[in-house]
Amino acid sequence: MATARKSRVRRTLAAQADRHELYEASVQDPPTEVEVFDRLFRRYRGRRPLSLREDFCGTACLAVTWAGSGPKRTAIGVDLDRPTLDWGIERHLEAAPKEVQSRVKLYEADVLDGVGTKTDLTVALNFSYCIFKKRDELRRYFEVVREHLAKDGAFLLDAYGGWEAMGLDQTERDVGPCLYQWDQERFDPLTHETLCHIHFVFDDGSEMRKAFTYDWRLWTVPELREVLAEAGFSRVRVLWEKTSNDDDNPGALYEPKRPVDNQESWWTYIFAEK
Amino acid sequence: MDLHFRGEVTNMGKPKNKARGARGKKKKGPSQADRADKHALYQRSVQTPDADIEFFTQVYEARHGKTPLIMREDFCGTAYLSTKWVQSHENRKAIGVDLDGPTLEWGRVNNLEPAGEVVSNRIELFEGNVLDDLGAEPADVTCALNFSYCVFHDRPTLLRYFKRAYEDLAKGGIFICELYGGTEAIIEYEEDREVAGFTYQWEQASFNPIDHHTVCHIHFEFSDGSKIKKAFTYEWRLWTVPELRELLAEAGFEDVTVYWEAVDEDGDGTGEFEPTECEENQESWLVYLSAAKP
Repeated sequence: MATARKSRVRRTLAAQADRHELYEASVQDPPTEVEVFDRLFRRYRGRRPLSLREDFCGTACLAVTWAGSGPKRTAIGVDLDRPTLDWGIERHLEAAPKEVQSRVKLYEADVLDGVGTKTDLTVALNFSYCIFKKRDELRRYFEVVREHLAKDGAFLLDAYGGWEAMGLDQTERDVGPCLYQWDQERFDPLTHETLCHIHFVFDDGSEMRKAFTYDWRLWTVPELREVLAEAGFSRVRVLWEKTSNDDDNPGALYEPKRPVDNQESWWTYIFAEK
Repeated sequence: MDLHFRGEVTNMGKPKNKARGARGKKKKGPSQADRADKHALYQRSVQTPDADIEFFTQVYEARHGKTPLIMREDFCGTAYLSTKWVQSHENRKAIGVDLDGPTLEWGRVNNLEPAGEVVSNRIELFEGNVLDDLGAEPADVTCALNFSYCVFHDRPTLLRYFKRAYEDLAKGGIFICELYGGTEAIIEYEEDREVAGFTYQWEQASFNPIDHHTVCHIHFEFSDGSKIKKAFTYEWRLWTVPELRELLAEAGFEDVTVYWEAVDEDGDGTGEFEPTECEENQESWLVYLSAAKP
């Protein structure tokens, strides 16, 4: 054909986007998390926590935020994935003041290796510990966490559930630059293994499919309590959110003394004390 | 005609509501609920011993090439299954274990005795705790049906029970239990089912996601409007399949297998259970698990 080719194809929004940036925008809120963790630690341990270990830290934005939240605060981040750590170093660590940088240590390591010094608080968030599908592996991980806590330290992890968590489900949420989609592709009641993806959908119709994929075992709260106790944690508090009709101002976290009702979908924190 | 249902009619004529008569209102006969016997209703509405026996036999034969003879029914209640087991083969024996003396006695009167000595002589009932060593003969098949082991709320106790069950099996013996689940199992829920002569109601009064404790009731309702509310109440921990698999393996069992109900082309359950490795979750399901003693 003689006609000249049309001008270059414009890059879609999806092609221009950065998945880590979108992930942070969709599922993380480090300033609020730091505040909540500080409050819970003070409530249950009676003092201000100074050192934090963020297991499965990814881009370590929580670790950096923690270290920046007080001149005495230090943070350790541990993750297996070098490129993700590098992304975090460039974006978060190097963007932080020098004195904050000096209080953050990132390790490319397996959380089972127990690298770094002991901390007041260790967190495993966004259900990342669900990559451990065998009970023995999960217990081993919890034991390593406990060994690397200060004497009056605590371990905080999150858990999700509800009847929608145990089936095929897709939910989406507008997160500003895009639509965040949570896609439960598989849930097997015989193993509680679940395969989930995060997709991002943009205004121009372009999509970043399977930006993140998780091959997990969906642990139940009683299982987590039992495994934590077996790993030596002396007290395990399962927190629950007070019912609130205001989405932007969710209810406070409390430790229920009476049975709670199941819901379509819930997530919560578990606070385990050494 | 169900023998057990007839048995309970002996209560007929016992006026239970004297107050009404005293107030001079029109005397009514006893309601259907007054005349009914909850054990008989239970047997008719939730037990399917013939299907269980067929299933146990299949699982055992597949492994050993011969039919199982000694069956132990833990949490046996009225020993309905034990009775049917013994009736199903002239060389079969059954052991029933239950904590509740009156329920066992009901079973002796309404199941064992009517079956005749040739059957009842081959059934040994223990009023005792399934966690204890009762000195019973080793069984080829031990079963814990109707989710009864869910009375054990903590992992160490359930493990202890599975170890006990393991100990009390003959070499090569098979342990079989059931579990229910699905998205409807973890909510408050009510279901009615028509059984000839009455309505069976299953009520999940509560389910706590923090400890998986669930409180469930069985109610019976009759055509005259009378009811037996909370004929049976269960305070269970609803265990999950992966937990049971892990616990059975920890107790020493091998070849822990999950059986899922097969469906026909319309998606309806056929009543046939087949071994499975992975499934999609459903609103409601019931599985058998089998575990072998090496």
